[in-house]
Amino acid sequence: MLAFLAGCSSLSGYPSNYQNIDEALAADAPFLSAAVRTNAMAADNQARGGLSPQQYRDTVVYRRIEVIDINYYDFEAKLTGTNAALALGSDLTLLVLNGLGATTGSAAAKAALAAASGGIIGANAAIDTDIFYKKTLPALISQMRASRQTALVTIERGIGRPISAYTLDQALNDVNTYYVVGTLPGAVVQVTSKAGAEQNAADAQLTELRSIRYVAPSPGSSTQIILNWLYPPNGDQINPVVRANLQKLTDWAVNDTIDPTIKNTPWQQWVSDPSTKSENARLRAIIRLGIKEK
Amino acid sequence: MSICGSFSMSGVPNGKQDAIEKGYRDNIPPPKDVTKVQDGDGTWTITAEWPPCPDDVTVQHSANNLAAAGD
Repeated sequence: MLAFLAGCSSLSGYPSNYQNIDEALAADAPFLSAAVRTNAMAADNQARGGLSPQQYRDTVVYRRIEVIDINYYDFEAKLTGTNAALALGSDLTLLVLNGLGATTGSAAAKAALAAASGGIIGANAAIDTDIFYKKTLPALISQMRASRQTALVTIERGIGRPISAYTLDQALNDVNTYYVVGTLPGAVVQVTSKAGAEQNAADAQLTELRSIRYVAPSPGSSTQIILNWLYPPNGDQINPVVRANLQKLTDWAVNDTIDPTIKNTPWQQWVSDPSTKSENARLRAIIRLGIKEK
Repeated sequence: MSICGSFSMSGVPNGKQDAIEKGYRDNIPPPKDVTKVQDGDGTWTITAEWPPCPDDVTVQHSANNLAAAGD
């Protein structure tokens, strides 16, 4: 095996394509024409090579998907095969950095952001291709694959329906989406919109926590357990606070990776708030800090 | 930068307002100011003020944390 590997001048990670690409693309060419729309509406099956409108729709869709797939995997192989394969234009660089650097949240965004914050752009605004290829690109490829799969499911569902419920025009729109989500700018849009949604949820939660209503803690509740720990013996905040415990609670909140909101709020808000998210935060704190019920 | 802006608790029963106020003052870091206002129903609204939030503070916090996590 080692001898085999040593004998290879380069290894891209992608085996050679099993089909004759040129022949496949030539066979698919008639289905890429704009004429498919008029063919689909022709009264006679003759214009569709003897296919019914539904059969023709399905054939056009699958042939176009085949072309997109051939080009996509060639594109992906070139992306990952060598750092020199992608001409990282300034537009894409800025798109990646502006899009990912301003938002956070998903694992993909995290990886991409880490790369961005790690100094993709140097003093002369040139891209650090090594960091881009090691960190940002895998996240974007992962996003492209996931989005392509999602788009494909939409198409598969569509062509399972009659032509009256899923016209060729609708199908072609979905096929175009399938193409777009397999592009780097398409992946950036997906990553940033997901991260944006997560950010909006965190912002909404913070807004809710800014104004809460007093709720008398019931005995044995997570709120009362934490209050007793901070303000022994009965949790009344008029008692002197156990500063060491409050510091532990504060430090835990700052480092909690599940709920990014609580580190930005006074402890009263999430310790008193009756929402499920705050209750979960309290339970995590109790377990993590080993707070015992007194 | 940690806590910023104002946070309040309303509906605090009469007699509990001083305890809640003290609880806010105990925070790490402590607020700049804490005010108590008695509402029409006799309960209290306690408002604690921290330094104003910079623009888009939540995004900035998350970005910093994730960047650190990616190191």
